[in-house]
Amino acid sequence: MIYTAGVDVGSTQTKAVIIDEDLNIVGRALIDTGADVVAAAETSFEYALKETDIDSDLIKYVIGTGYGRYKVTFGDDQVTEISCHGRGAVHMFPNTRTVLDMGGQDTKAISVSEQGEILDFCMNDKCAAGTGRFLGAASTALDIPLDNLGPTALEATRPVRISTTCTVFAESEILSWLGKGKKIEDILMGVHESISARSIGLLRRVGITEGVSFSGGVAKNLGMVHVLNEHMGLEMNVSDESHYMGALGAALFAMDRAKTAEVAA
Amino acid sequence: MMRLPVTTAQPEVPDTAIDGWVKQFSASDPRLSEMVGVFQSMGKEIKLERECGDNLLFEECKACMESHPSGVWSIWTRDSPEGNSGNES
Repeated sequence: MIYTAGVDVGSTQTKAVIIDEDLNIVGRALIDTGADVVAAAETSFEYALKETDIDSDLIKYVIGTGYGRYKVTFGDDQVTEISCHGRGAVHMFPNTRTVLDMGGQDTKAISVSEQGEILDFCMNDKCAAGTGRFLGAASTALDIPLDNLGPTALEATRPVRISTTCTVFAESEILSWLGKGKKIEDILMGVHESISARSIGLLRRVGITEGVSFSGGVAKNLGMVHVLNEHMGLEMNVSDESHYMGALGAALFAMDRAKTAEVAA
Repeated sequence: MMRLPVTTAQPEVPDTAIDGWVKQFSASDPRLSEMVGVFQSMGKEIKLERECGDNLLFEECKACMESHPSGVWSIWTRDSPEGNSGNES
């Protein structure tokens, strides 16, 4: 049995996935990237390896992806995250034709073929509005942990309309709504609605084809999943492992190459 | 807080209708190089245009753009005449 790994070094979090020859995930890890990107890549890989009972020598190929993919110094090659998210999403949810990847710094909409090949994609402008960072600003302003933002937003009864498009200035608008006596859950739902509107705008550019899979760290946010589903009028594919889609895709590309090398040898 | 747009002028020609070029999005390195690579792997022709911030909605956006040392660039793409549609893998 051979194994391969994918390490997805994101701006906020680093994910590592180890798969076996049958393409099952046997190990995974998620850590904060922090300032030392090389160390984050190494540590996430070590943690994923610890979750398995296999020797590191059996890992035949490692591919780095994501923002810091060139920092996976122990890796054999790199593949862009667009390709990895497409591949990982189709593997996790075979009906995938559209991928929404929402991370800490950017949001991407990807149109994929049945085989997971990229047909089209687009991402947010350099501006961080409409990305996970916007949620980070809300978390700071309202002093609510990121994990609680979604559940709290779902309690909203009269969502406010967030008008600022700038993440830097979102905090002051949130504080101004608080000053006007608005409930935290209504403000938070406004934040989710604002991000959702921008994300759906990106999705429309590549075409929203049924079989939409949600990846990235924000896919763990139940409030965001709810708002996006409601606005698109469909049920997105989401799993507890959606934030590993990029790393999974990298591990799948790595398995292709390991098998090709094995045949050639 | 009220913020006035830097410019309200509408472009005479829509961005998406200039010789088949389509404006995709803006980015700065290292994202810029990565995304250019993905478009090239899809068989697209690429043109980069430095964002000077003149068409941005808010004054703050311009300041944000100018804070990137290597600049912020708009990526324009056009279908390649060769029609190469190879995906990287």
